[in-house]
Amino acid sequence: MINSKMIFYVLGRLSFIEAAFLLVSLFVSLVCGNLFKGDMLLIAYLIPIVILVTLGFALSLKKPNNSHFYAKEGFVVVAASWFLMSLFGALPSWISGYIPSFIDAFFETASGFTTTGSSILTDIEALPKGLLFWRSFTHWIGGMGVLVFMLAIFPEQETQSIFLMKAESPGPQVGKIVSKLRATAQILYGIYLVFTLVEMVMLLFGGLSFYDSVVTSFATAGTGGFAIYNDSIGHYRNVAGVNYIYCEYVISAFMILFGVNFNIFYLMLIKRFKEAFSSEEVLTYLAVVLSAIGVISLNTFQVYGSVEETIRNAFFNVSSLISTTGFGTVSINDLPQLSKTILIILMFFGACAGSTGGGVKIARVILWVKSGFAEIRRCISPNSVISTKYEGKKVDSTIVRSTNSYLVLYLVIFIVSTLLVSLDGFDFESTFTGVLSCFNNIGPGFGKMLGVVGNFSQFSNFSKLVLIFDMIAGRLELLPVMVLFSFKTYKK
Amino acid sequence: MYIIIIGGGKLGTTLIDCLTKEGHDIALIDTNYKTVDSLVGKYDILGVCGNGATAETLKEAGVDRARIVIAATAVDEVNVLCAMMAKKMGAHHTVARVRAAEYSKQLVFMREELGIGMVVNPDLETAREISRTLRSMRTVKIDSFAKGRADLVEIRITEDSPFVSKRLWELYKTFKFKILVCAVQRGDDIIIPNGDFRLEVGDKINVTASHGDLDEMFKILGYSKQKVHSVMIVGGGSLGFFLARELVEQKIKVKIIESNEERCVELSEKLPKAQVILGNGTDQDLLSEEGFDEYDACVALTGIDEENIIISLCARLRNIKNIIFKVNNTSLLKAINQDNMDNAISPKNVTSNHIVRYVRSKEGDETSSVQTLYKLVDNKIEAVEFIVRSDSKCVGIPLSQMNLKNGILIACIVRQGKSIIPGGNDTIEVNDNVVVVSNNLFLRKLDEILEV
Repeated sequence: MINSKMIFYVLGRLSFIEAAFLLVSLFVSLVCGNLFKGDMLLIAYLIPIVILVTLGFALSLKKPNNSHFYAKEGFVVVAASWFLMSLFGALPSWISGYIPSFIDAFFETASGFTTTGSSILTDIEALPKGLLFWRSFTHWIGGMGVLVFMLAIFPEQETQSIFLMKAESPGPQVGKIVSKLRATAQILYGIYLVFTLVEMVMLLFGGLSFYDSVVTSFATAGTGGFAIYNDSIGHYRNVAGVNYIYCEYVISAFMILFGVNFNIFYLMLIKRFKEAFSSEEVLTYLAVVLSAIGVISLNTFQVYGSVEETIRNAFFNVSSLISTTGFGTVSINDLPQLSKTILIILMFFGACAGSTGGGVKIARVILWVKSGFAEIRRCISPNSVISTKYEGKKVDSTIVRSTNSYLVLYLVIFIVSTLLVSLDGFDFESTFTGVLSCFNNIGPGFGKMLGVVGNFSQFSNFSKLVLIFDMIAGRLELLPVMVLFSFKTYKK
Repeated sequence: MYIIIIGGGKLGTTLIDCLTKEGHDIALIDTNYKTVDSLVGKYDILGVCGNGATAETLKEAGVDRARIVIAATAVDEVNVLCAMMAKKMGAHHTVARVRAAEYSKQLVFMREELGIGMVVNPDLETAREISRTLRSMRTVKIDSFAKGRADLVEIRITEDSPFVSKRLWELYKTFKFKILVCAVQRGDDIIIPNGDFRLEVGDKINVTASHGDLDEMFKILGYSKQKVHSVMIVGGGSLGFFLARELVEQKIKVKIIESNEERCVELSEKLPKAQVILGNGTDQDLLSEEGFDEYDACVALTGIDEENIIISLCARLRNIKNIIFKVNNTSLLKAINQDNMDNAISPKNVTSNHIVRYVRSKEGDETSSVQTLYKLVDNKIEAVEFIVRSDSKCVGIPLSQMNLKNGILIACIVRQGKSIIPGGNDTIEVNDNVVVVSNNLFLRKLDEILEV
């Protein structure tokens, strides 16, 4: 029997947290002077804040007596909270009238929280700075996860809260880095915060305004990809006083960094460098990045002519897509087909487990390749005993099994989503990369619709709902969302 | 404190349960992935999969930062190796479980020469615990807290008890000795009672008192002090052997019933003064033949929990006064709680209590005013010891006038090394140590006991 009281209790606590985040955005709007120009922005923020605080009090006033909390409850809470957060987070832009359709606002916020970065806005610059801040801020919250944030700040917890973290954090094997869950969450957020601040300062040195460097760092840290200009990062090329090339390198490097497993940073912090630098996943990740940059550079050398520019563009595009950030400087739709195909493959791969990036994760790709080869060897000599090793240790068969089932589930959702979105009748490239981009939390796509127009505004409301589902399912790695929508979960 | 536990078996799990509740940082090392996975899901601990006797795994678990490393795997030799490795790699203290009787003579050597802080033999500890219980002739559970200055005993209220349907303040008035009922277990509930609480038949009460007053109380309750002269032990495993050895040394007549012939021969060689009988302990005829009824005490220590329970039921039917039986799977006791089964003893709990006491003794004076946290009555109630600071709001008010929260009781006041069992007129003074009993309220400051 599922413990619904405990689920509501946790949801109540989360309401307070989202209200607090909205309050921060309200404050930023105030500072940016957006509030009293006759638009509805103040009310647009206050309504969701009031609703959330009321809900918070109603749900978390009394702690349920029966506080048992297992994997099932963890999955349901996490999935439900991500849908609810996106719904409430959509209210400001909808009430204020900047995004007239609620589905569009929902899509935009879900895209923010899941760090996808796909947008339905045709003219981003029309939005006031306060709303654009909230849009980028959702990336930062969603990157490390709001439940992990909750674990980090609330002092007394159930011992089984680990299930919340397991459901929200990406990767086939979620472990703690120190023995206390709360300390683990605090360390993760600490590293996240410090990196974000470092990037901010570095961008300030590059000549970006304070506001621009804050929102750009938020979007990079969560590997989200919302920019505040129609031409994304490429905008800064024509801004006076900005050292564009320097900024491009900084952003590329940080995109790669935020795609690395955060446990590695912790290992470096406690001076266990040997283990940190021998991580199989991170080494593979870097190898993939370097070889992709190499091939794309060779392939696009003719386009740019200059060696530095070729490598810089290849570096930016590869980091942007493998880390699933989705910033843009040049139109990737016009690249040669080989480069485009490589980028699409990188979109599938995604970043490392335990990072803020999306995709299927390098860890799973490694395990799939290894178990695939093991199967071939078993066919050749049926009696041989083969143990799959990962990070120098034998992988338990249950992990191999769940990783393989993940692939099946992933493909099923992917195919069904593509089928549903193709009802809109767009070209194959747009439909396919649209779903791919949302499901793996990347942002941009290719083809006539996404490559040229550059956003999702043309898709029907139904397709947008399907893509919202894909984004949240992709961010939470399928299972929580599938458990939330499975009837068996609620059966007595 | 950062504590590493190697081995997630029965003892390991019990230790994790106790130590996480006392707020320690725990890392578990086990070779079995599934064990690690399920325990990490259940408790707030770090899991490391691997062999705890290898430097690699110990390093991964952060042994250099560990205050205590406890080796509780199934194999004695592995435990000793784990403890030695951990010590050399920078752990402050180490504990190893060593079960085999052959090693029991070299415990001191291992402690002193191998640098293992504590070598614990579960069977030996349990045997000592049983022998202690038999000698004191009171088959009641005794927990001691406040560094041994106060005892907490568990008593069941039977129909003929003078405590039946008395309110607590009546109880305290009627008898001249000073006792304090800290907790009452009624069914599945645990109640921290106030003065108006009325005791009923079937309640289990936990009482604190000074040692002298406890004796007085036992006298009134009819737990007369009478020496045990003869003990029948059913089951001659290593626990049975240790117990027999302890008892024989105290000139108590011992008869061991054991069903394995080879083991019988071995026992009779090692224990010439004990009588060893070959046979099945559940066989009623055999028991009658061996004069079961005439023994002062019966101890059931076979390897099967259910058999032990049945033997103790037989013994009860035959009116044997003192019955103790071993149960490994303590959850069985929940099912049979109605039948006055108070005298179960479980080696894993005895051992884990022993180790937990060691852990507590290594605890440095931390900054908070909480001195020590004890979990009593199967971890269901929490006793916290505070030092009273001068800014506390509790100072100088008689307890009867203090507005305490529900479910809170001041169990003991330690003033200048002397423990006082407090009554309504006592006050708390600066620099006292106060032990507060509560229903898991997570007290962290003394002033939190007051109703705001």
